[in-house]
Amino acid sequence: MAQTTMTRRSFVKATAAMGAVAALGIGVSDSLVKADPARAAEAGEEKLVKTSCRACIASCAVIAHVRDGRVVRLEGNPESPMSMGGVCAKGMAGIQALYHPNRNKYPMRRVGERGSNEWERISWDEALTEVATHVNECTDKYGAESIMVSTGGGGNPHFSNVKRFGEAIGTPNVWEPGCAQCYLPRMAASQLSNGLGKPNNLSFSDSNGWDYYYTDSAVTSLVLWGTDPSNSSVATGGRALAELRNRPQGLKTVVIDPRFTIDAAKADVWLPIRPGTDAALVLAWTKWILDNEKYDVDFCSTWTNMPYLVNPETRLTLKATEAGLEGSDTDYVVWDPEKGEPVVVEYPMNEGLKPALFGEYEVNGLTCKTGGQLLKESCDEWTLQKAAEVCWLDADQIEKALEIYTDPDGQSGIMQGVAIDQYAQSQQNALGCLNLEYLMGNVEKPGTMLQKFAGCPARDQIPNTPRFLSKEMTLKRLGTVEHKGLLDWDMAHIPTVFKAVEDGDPYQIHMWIERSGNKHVVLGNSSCLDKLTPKLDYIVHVYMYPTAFSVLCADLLLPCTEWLETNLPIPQLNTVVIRQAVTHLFETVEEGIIWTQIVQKCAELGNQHCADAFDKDKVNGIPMYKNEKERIGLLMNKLDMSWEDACKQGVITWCTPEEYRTYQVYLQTDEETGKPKGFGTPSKKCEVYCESNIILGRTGFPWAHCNEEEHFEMEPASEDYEPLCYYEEPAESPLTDTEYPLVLTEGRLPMYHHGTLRNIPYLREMYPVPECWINPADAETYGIKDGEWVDLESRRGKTHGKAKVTTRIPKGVVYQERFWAPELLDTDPEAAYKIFNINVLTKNDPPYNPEYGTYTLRGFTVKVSPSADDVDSMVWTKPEQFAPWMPEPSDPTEDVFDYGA
Amino acid sequence: MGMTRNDDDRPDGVASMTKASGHPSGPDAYKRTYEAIASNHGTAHALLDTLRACDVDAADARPYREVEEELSALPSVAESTQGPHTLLGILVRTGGIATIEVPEATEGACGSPLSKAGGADEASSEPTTVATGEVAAQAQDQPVDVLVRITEEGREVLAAFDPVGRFETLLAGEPAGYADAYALVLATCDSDEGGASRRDVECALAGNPALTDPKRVYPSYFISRLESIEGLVWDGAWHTTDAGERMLGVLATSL
Repeated sequence: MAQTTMTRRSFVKATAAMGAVAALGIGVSDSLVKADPARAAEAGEEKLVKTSCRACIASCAVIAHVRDGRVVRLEGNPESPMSMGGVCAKGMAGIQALYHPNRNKYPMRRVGERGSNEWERISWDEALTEVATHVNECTDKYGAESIMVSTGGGGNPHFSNVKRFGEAIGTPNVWEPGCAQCYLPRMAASQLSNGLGKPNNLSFSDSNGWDYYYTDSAVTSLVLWGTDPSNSSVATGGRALAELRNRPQGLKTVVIDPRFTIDAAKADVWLPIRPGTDAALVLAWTKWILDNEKYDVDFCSTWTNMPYLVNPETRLTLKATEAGLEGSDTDYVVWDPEKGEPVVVEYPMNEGLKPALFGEYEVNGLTCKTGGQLLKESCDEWTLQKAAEVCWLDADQIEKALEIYTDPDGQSGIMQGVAIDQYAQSQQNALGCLNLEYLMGNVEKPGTMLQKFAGCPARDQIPNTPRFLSKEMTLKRLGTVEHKGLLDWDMAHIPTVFKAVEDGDPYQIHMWIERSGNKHVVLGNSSCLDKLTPKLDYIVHVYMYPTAFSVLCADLLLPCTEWLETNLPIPQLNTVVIRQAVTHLFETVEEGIIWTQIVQKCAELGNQHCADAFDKDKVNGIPMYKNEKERIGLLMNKLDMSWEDACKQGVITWCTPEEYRTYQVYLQTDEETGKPKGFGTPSKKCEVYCESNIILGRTGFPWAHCNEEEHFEMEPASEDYEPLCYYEEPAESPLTDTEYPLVLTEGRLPMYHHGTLRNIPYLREMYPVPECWINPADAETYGIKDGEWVDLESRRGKTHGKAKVTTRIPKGVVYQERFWAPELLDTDPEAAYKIFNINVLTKNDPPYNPEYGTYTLRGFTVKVSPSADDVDSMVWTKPEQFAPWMPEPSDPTEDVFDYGA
Repeated sequence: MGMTRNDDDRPDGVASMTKASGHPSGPDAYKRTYEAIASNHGTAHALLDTLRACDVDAADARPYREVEEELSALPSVAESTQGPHTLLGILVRTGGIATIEVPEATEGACGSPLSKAGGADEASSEPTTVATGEVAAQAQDQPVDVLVRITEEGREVLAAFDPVGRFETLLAGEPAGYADAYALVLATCDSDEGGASRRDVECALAGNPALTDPKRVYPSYFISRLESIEGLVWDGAWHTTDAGERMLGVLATSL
């Protein structure tokens, strides 16, 4: 019988090698460590299958070795231009994840009370009938809005699929704990202010920054603002940065992060910013760039709306009709300083005109400032000294960082990480950093972060169908009248949804279909689920393993596939990396197929809306696929080859790198107008003064869609959204909080992704329990010793961490990452998620960010003290303790549902 | 509508009903029974109906199988995620329902009579001793049946969940204008013509000030609340229950 090949020693060697590449800045090609060769007593032929990992969103290309139907070894596939053969610890753990003895293998119905962890196996038909019956019944009894559907970033999710499923069963209440707290702010701010399209923004680890995967990139310096690619995208982003650092010219970096991360260790300047104060630093940077005239005058004048006059009454850009000038109500107005008069803009800018970027001017009885003037005023008080005081930084170091970023002989870019999304200033941070890039003209040039490279013919997400829902139903989406930014992702506001669950206000939520790992680990103030779960009639959990959520909440478990059992084409730069199923185990089903099967069963049982989901005219978009063949066809999209051929190739190059790396697309001529294409905003300019944000708050444009209208106008939010960055001190502030005097932050670990993989033996050995980083000065104040358990408390609750006394975190700040203990599921499922999980402490009450309703996951206050609890006796930390989780390989089984004719 | 249950396949369902040992009593039983109902909206009504089905005096304790069959026919149990056996088991464990074992009434091999079936007292949990020829064996014989009855604590919990009492508490906490909306919903569903659909209720409440004053709520707000306190029941349409009729009476006196 062939044995799995990965020994503990070779696992650690291989994963450490990938980490070393990131940490030491050495080239990948010379440094990969070969894993031990496969051992087998007697063996069938070993087959190599090209596929792709999905332990996180990086989707590194992988080669799976399969013998006798079992996956025996994994290694990176060097054909991918993003990972180039690299695989991190999470990917290497794929075999242990696949053959984990605790896999959900069959549909399971709970027997007894929630929390009893007793289940009975049922058939898929029985399970689907049960779910569909509940869906139809909730729809008939209360309305489909009484069903909420959720997903999350951990454990193989496909966000669009889940949204499409929600729309197909008629509910507007789809949500995920990321969204307003992860990526949406950065993505939506970019869409509003430059309109480059959905994936084009300042997030590197969400797979932007494509120019940086080429070592001939013109980039000379990068600002890593709240991001740590060496942890969060080890083999792709982290690797790419290492390669750039390894160039003869190197790469200068500025790291803005309270933690001294691997990336900070390589940086030229580390700014250990106080969590929750990023906007203050953004404003100080903005002021410094303006005061020192470091901005790109030409780009700002022609390609931003800085020179556009703003109507003080409407707060929107002044139009020719308002100015009393010849032109329409869509023509913009600037000030000609030479002639001393207002001028109607001839797109992109009037020949020979150098419009005023700053100033205040009288136009037709109105005192109008330029967008640039308003920007200037917004940051005027933010000297470097003031920012240093607020952000707990050194003013000289801030200036040093700025000099690197604005070096006239270099080319820089800002990578903005999830940290800035995770508290109430999410939109302000996002808009503010984008403005820095616009000021510097860092848009679509070689070496910049913002690019509009050629679009891939295949896709890894099938667009969802927001226009399938009626206006009535769309307006019932909870929380989106107030937080209209959520409309970009067609998602609901979690606290508003939870209020509906708890209070039945404005209507009662009765049913929950949840597809991701462990909501108890990733939701803000996750203990609130203890109050909410009793209110729900029926809860379905779709996942690969039981988690605290399964045990404490679920009435039905549906087993879904691991990444080694799924199919997906994945755009990666100028290639498409194919993830193809290497095996299939038990009765697991790919989540996308679970969704369509539920919808089909609902239709079969009489739900007309579900039947309509398969009709493209009814959905106003792409109808629901019926089977895997149709699903794959939609994903392959315009890639002109069969799925079978794509699988044989594994990595498909659809154009050359030169054809892919298209710079300054905005300067290309629009054939219809004969003028430059510009940007995807109403003005075709980058909106430094982001009036699109104001309009969003007042009307929902551009994201309020429904079945009846492509764009419909919603009632305004309670207050205007602001067009420019501003700073607000966090609601829980260490400046005034005497009861909870420290500030907590979280941040990524290279061997885990969100709440996943805490049940993988080799990964747990590497990092068995969460470290609580505390500065030596604070440790002394609070009597904390290195290596001891601490109690970590906030106004929401208490949890534990293992103290790491280190100067890698500044005084006044503590760091700990989310965690949970699968080993406690049988004996104490509540403790499983509470024992060392910082989301027991995080904050989901107001104030929220206005645009997205972001609550607070970082930058709130805590206190730390030595723990009297015997945590070591409860959780596993020793290698031998994880033995029960060692993989139990099994033979492949047939897919549950037909692939499709 | 019903979902497949595996209760009948469960081995030795009767015997397992008695396996729970150390049934709580007193305040602990009240608390646990109350929490079992309050902790899961999806099984709350089924558990309450289970208590009601067992709401007899000790002398009238009912055979388990009879209760199980009765529960199987109830809409609340059909909608619940748990079958009658599990529902009964939950309440036995919490102390809301007591069980009385009915041992087999047969003679021993040497002619020694064993205890007969029936009786209101709890049977001993000691194993029955059977003399069989030359060897005396200690055998844990299984009871042929189990009788079930509500406990005092179970009765107190039923009282705490009295629908009309809950309705009065609900009304006291709601905005003033909601009483009219509740009356409308109950009246709409109190139809001899097969009840009311959700749309019927929405039409009945269209334009009602309760939907916007003092805040925006939707018609299903009222439906869900009335259903929670057993004023409405669904069987493909909404029907006002007997308790719901009494709620209408409460409203009639107050409006």
